[in-house]
Amino acid sequence: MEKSNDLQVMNNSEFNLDANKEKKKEKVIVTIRNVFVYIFLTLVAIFSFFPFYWMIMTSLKSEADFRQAVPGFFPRAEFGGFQWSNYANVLAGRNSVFGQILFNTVFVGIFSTVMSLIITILTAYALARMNFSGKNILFALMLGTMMIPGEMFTVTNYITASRLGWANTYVALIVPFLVSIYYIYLLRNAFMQIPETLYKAAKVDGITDMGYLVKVMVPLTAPTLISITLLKFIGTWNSYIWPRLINKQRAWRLLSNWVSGGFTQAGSSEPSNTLKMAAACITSIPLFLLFIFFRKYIMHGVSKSGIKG
Amino acid sequence: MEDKQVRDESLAVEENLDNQEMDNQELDDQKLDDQLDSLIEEAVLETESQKPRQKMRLESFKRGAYHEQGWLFVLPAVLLMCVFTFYPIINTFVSAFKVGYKPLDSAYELKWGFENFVRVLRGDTGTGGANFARCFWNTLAFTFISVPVSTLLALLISVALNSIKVLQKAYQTIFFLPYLTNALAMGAVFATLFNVVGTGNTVETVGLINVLLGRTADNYINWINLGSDIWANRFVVIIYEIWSGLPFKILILFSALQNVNKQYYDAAKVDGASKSTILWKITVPLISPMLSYLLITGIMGGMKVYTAVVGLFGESMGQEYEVGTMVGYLYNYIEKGETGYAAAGSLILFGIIMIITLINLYVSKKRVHY
Repeated sequence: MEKSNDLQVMNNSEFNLDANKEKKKEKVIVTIRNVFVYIFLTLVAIFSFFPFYWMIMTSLKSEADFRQAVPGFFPRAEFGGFQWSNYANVLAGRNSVFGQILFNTVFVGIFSTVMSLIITILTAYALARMNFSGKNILFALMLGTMMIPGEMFTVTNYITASRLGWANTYVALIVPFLVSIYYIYLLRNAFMQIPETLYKAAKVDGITDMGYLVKVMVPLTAPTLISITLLKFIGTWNSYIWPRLINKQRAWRLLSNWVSGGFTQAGSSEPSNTLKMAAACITSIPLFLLFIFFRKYIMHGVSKSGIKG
Repeated sequence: MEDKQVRDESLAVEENLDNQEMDNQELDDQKLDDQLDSLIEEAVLETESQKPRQKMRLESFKRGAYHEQGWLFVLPAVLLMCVFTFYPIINTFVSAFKVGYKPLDSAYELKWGFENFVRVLRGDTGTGGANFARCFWNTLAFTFISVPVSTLLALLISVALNSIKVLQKAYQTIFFLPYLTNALAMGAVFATLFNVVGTGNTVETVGLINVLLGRTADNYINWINLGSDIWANRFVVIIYEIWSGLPFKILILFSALQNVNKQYYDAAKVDGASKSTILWKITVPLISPMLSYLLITGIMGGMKVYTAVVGLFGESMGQEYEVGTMVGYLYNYIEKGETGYAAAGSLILFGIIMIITLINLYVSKKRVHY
C-alpha cells in the first residue's frame, strides 16, 4: 500500500495531496475509534475484576472500617488497618468447623475423582474400541440422559440415598456422582482419534485390551484426562445442594456449604461481612490458582463439553 | 494362449464385480477391518484353547464371551447408572402422579392422579414456602434478560478485542478471571457490594453501589435487604449472571472471530462497507452458529439458576423464597420430604426447558447462516 502511494507521488502531485488528506482523516478516525475501543475494554475489565478486588479488601477491613458511611477502597489505618485476624477468626475461631470441612472436601474430591476417572476410562474405552452387542443402544441411552435436567435425578436419588442409610456419610457424597456422561463422551472422542491401526498392531503383538488401554491409550490421551480430573475436582469443590440435602449435620458438609453460612465476630450476634469475605477468599483462592496453572486444560475441557465441574 | 485369455477375462469380470460391490473406498476399508478383527479374534482364541475341533461348543461360547468382554468394561458405569440415572428418570415420572407422595413417611396412602401438577401450578400445596408462579417468573426474568444482554455484550467485547493488538492478551486474561469461581462465594461478594448495613434502625453504610450512585442513608436504594422491591432483587441477580456468564461467551466468540476468513473483510472494504455494516452484515452472520449455540446453552443453564441466588440472598432465597427460582422451588420440596410435588415440579421444569429448546432450534434453523 505504502509503496503504491509513493509511486503516485511522482506521477500526480495533485492526486497525492488529496490522498494525503484522506489518509490523515482516516488516521484521525482510526485513532478516535481506538480510544473508544480501549475505554470500552477497560470499563469491562474493571467490571470483571472489581468484585475480586472488593472481596480481598473487605476481608482485610475491621468491622468499624466496613461500617463507615463512605467505604474505603482499602483498609484505612485510622480504623485499624489490615485485619489479618479476620482470617484467623474464620479458620480457627468459634465460627468454624473449617478443618473438618476442608478435610471432607479434599477427601471426597480426591476419592471421587480417582474412582470416577477409572470408571470413565473403562467405559469410554469400551465404547470407543470394543465391539459388544447393544453398544450403540447403550451409548444412545447415555447421550439421551444428557438432555434431562439433573434436578430430576436429585428428587429420586435423595430417597434412594436416604433409604440406603447414607445420610451423613462420605458415601452419599461420592457414589451418586461417579458416572458422568459428559466425561465419558469427552474421553470417548479422544480415544476415537487414536488410529485404529495402532490397536490392530498391538493386538497382533498379543497385548490384552486392558494392557493396550493402560500402556497406549491412557498416555496418549493425558491432556483430556487432566481436564477431566480438574473439572471433577472443581465440581466437588463447588458442589452445594446435594451435601446440603443429604448431610443435615454440618460436620459432614463441604466447603460451599461452609461459605454460605453466617459468620459472626466474637461478642456479636450480627452477621459479619468482613468475615464472610475472608471465607469467600479462602474458597476462591485455590480455584484461582488452579485456573492460573491449568488454564489450558480447563478451557479445553469446558469448550469441548460446555460444562465446568 | 486361449487359456490365458480366458483367465484374463475372468479376472476382468471379477474385478468388475468387485468394483460394483464396493466402489466405495471406505466400505472396502471397513470390510478389511472386519476381516482383520475376526482373524485377530480367532488367533487369540486359538492360543487360548488348543483343541478347537473337540470343543466346538465351548469355543463358540468363548468367542461369544470374548465378544461381550466390552460389557465387563462398562459394567461399573452401567450398574451405577441403573441406580442413579435410569431408575430416577422412571421413578420421578411415576411419583409425579402419586398424589402427595411421601416415600420416607410410612403412613402415606397411595393415590394416583394429576393433583400434584395442579397444586404445584396453582401454588396451594399447603406447605407454605416457595410459590411456583413467583419462582417461575423470577427464573424467566433472570434468564431472558441476562442471557441476551451478556451475549450481545460478549459479542461487542470480542469484536473490540479482535480489533486491537496492544494489550490484547492482558485484557483477555482479565476478562477470563470470573470464569472459574464459586457461585456462593462470589454471590456473597455481590451481596456485600449492594448490602445496606446498620444496627437496629440506624443505617451505618449504604453499600458501595449506593455510594457510587450518590445515595446516602436518607435516599438509598434498597437492593437486597428486608422489604426490598422484587425488581431491585432481580437486577442484582441479573448483574451477577452477566458478570459470571461473560467469560465463557467471550472465549467462544473470540475464537470464532479469529477463525473468520479475512478475505470477507477485504472484499467488504473494497466495496466501501462501513464498520458497522461489516459487523452486522458479515461478522454476525458468519459467527451466527456460535451465537445461537451460546443463546441455547445460556437459556438452558439460566432456567436452572440456583446457587448464585443462594449466594446473594441466603438459603431461603430472600425472607421466604421471594427471589426463589424453579430449581430452588424443587429443592424446597425435597427438603420437606414432599417428593410428589418435587417430582411434578421437576417434570414441569423439564417440559419448559424442552419447549424453549425446541423454539430455539426452530428459530435458529430459520435465522442462522451455516
